[in-house]
Amino acid sequence: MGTVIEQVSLTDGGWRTHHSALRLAVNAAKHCLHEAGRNAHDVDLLINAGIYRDRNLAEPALAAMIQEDIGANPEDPHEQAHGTFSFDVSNGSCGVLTALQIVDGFLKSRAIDLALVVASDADPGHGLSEDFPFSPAGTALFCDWSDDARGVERIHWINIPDEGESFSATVGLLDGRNVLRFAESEKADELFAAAAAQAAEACLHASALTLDDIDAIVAAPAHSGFRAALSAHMGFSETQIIVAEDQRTHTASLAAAFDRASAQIRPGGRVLLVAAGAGITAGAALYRMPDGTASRQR
Amino acid sequence: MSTTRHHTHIDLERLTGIHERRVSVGEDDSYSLATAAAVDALHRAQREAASLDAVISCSITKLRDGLTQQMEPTMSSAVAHAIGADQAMTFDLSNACAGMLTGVTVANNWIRQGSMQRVLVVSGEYISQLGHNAARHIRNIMSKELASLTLGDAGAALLLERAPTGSEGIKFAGFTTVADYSRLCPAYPKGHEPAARMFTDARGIHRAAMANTPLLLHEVLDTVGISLHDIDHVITHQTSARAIRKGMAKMSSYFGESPRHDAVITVDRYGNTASTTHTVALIEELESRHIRPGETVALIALASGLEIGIVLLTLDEELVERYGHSD
Repeated sequence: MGTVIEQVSLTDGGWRTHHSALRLAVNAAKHCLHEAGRNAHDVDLLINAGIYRDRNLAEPALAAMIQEDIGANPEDPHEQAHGTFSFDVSNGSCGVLTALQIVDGFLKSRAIDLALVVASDADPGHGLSEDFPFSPAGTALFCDWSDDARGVERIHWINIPDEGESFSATVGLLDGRNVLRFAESEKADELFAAAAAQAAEACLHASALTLDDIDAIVAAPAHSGFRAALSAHMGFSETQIIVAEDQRTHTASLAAAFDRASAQIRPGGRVLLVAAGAGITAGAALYRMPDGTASRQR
Repeated sequence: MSTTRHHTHIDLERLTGIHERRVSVGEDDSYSLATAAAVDALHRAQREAASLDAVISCSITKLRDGLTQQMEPTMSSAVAHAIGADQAMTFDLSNACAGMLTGVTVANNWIRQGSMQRVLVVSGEYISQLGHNAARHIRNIMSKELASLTLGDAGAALLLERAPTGSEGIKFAGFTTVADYSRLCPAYPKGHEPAARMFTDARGIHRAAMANTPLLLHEVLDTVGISLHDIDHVITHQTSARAIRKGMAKMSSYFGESPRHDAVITVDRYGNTASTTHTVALIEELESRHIRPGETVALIALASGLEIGIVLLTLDEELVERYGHSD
């Protein structure tokens, strides 16, 4: 019983999108809905977990603009129609996992039937950033509720506060211009992996499971250094730790890894979703894949 | 208008009803305002930070160490660490001036389901710099940056926890985003000025909010099974005293009845403190002894997006007493 990811879509940067997180998210969302055979109006809740966006926009929530651009109930509310609720969350590479926990709260309370989680990042360009470290990438996950054994189980979180020493990003004046800048420690992968392993172990322990019960770990970020360190910390084969293909994917990386896992893991298999990011914050949750015969819809 | 570069002939006080507002002159930023509010909320409620399941930071501004916007790590992780809530789930939530009430809506689901016991929804808005920036550009009353002059700084925190069935508390929390209006009030860093600039189609937003809020409130009241007259206090987002009064007049004419008390106005003394306005007004009303235990309060969010949110709640005697009202 839980929140089920019915469809995942990914987009990467083309000439029209590589400086626009908005367009990346909109393209991913439209593709995801199309593949799921759904209409944008079906979306009750839209959460954007992307961070680096056009103009370094502070408000409105980018999710509201995505909602308008995909045409999800953007018009004035009227009777006998339901609306869409959109907002942003920010939690680095853990943003999608955070959004899934929020979606779970709305689905479980039956406040909504269907949710779309999107995440995208792009260098805002136009001199607004310096040494932007991430690839332009977007993702959308179409989620609903299942009363059977599938879906996201309880998410466990771990904090190892480091005041942003391992990774930080700021927008501030530099030579009279507002510039987005990044600082990353060489030890970031190792520190993130240590936090991720702690979260994963807490999650397994709470479920009275071991790594032998897991088909794969679906992890973010996608850095090879993080993957290797996570493997070492957990004593779990690196080949069974699935990450996004593009190591420079940021907030979309967990979804990209999940998309790869969906193609590899046996129906009914169990994966451990693990994400770690700046803070340091890490989260982990078990996820039961569809068994292939279960109804895809509620 | 004393700080505007151009001589503008705008009587902002008459236009907005704002007589004073509070601005940080650098001694506070989003982080310090949020942290101070979080500490105060825990102290008043006599709860330990270590007992928090989640800390959600909901501000638009994430300025720390002056006028530097912190994109990562999250403001929530910094606040949680500062107050000693290192076990809590932390994340930031952005929904313009509806941020805190969106945080309440998210937390309400988790707490109702029992997946969390105690959540801190916090926001520190060091947003007055947008007014300083606007003052350099405003030439006349048609300026899209006029609304920036009304912004004030504030930190706010709401501590939500699970209570036994039948207790006073949040009766309803829900939102709709009318995204056709998503581009009416963007704010972003621009040019050579620190923090950000905000460009507001104030008339457009006001018109859209006036057109849509009554219907949405009607739906909420039907769902909960009460009428407008059953609401004792209405706290809307605080943009201008004029806009709030006009909005409430429209509401009363739509419903053919009114809430028991006039809409709460704090914008005249605090300005528009962005995502913290409802909390600032709620505390002000409690301290002024205007709210009694068991009375129904409607918090109405109207924010860039266009976000329209409604939270209906009643407060118990313990909380009301904590702020000075006991009869």
